[in-house]
Amino acid sequence: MTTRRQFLALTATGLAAPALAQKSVDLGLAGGAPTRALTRDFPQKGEMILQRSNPPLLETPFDVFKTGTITPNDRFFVRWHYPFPTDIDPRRHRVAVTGHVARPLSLSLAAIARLPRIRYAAVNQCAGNGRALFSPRVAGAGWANGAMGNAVWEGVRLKDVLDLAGVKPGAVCVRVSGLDAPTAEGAPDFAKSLAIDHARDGEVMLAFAMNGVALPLLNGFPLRLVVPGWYSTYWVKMLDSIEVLDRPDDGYWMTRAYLAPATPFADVAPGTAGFARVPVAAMSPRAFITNIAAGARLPRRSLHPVQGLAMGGDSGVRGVELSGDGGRSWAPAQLGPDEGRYGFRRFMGAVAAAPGSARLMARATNMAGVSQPMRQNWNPSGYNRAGVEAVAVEII
Amino acid sequence: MRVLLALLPLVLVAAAPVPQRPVRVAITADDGVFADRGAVSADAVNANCLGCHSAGMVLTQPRLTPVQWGETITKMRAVYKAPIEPVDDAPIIAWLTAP
Repeated sequence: MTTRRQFLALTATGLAAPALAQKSVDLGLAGGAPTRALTRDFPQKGEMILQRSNPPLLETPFDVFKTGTITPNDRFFVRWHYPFPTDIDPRRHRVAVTGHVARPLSLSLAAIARLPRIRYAAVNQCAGNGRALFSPRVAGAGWANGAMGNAVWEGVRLKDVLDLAGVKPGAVCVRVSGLDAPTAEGAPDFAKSLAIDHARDGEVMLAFAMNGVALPLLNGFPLRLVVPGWYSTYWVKMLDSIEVLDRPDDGYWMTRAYLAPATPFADVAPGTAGFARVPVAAMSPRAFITNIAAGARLPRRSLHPVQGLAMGGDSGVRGVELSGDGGRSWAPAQLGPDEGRYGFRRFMGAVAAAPGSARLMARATNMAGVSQPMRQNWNPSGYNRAGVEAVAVEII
Repeated sequence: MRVLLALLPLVLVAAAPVPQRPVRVAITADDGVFADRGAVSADAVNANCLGCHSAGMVLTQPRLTPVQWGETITKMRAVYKAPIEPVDDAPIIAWLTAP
């Protein structure tokens, strides 16, 4: 459920330091720690939900998604595992292309930008988006549904960069990492890999622009990987290393972390053990009602207007259906313009709902024919939330 | 002026510029330190749990069992190489599970 009851409250209990009143947001979470502070303290960012200041975890307040299909750069969510530089000169930045290649390279941004440009809209969503809404709750970054955003990314094809270096026969995958580095010596550097054919599909991008301007530093300035249709964990920020491997990547971040059950929607029953796990990868379709918040009191009327945003995951949005009776009956929504198969697509329509408590729902189906499940999927890591979101309202 | 207006559509469709200007930011936000919970001292969590991440990471977690918190400490030690002395495990878990 995406509850957004904003109010003024004192700083979260458990903290010793500030006694000043601070604006916060109630994310409507069961199972503890339901509120978060709102912050304007981060560079190049407007008001964000503060999950953690260091390394920053900043969530997009859900109201932002009312404004349109594009998430503004200064409201785009932020997620870092490790500390990163806060002073970057893009003219001195270099990207090393190494490993199983004919010509190892050290490329400047200017050299990269001479390659053919590509540009498309794509949703960037944390694998753990919605984790704090899981029932039962699970440990991990406590996101509601705002660890996602849609931007127009611009840059060059990873394929073209790999071709400059000349991938040798027998290449298996491409490992990418950035300028962030662990605090403690011996902790695993953050690096993610794509299979060689995926890396060379002509869509995976090295992006230096986001919505027409340079990326905010917190979103990966000066260069980040864009893997459309896949979760954000692969969208490596402050990218400075591309390594072609002639073997599978056996690193921590591919073999131990970001693993989800190898089941449809990564769904297992709570308490299940011993299931096979695979790296999180492609995203699922999702739809979000944006014009009505949970807890809203709506006047009686024959039809209630509903609007929102849908995503198809790794393919476009085929359709969105709406329900005002908790999913017993459905009516198709009208879709807004197609702004790219990997981006958000607006939907609008109207639902009938009986007086009293009602649950309004939107259900997306993608071009591959995958529809959101009615029951929320669950796994112990809080990944791949994909079920239909219900907005509980009172019709008075 | 007329020339500028005529160029405007071209500018709008032109490719985004490659970043040239250095960016230097300061991140001053701080989640603070942990407070004692009743009679349960926060000393062990303050000494061990703020080296790699700020307090928000802990304070946004749902209610977890002592076993679950123990698994988290093991992960911090084994994967992230947090120098947590084993003798501190009990006081850390005591604070994390205190009401």
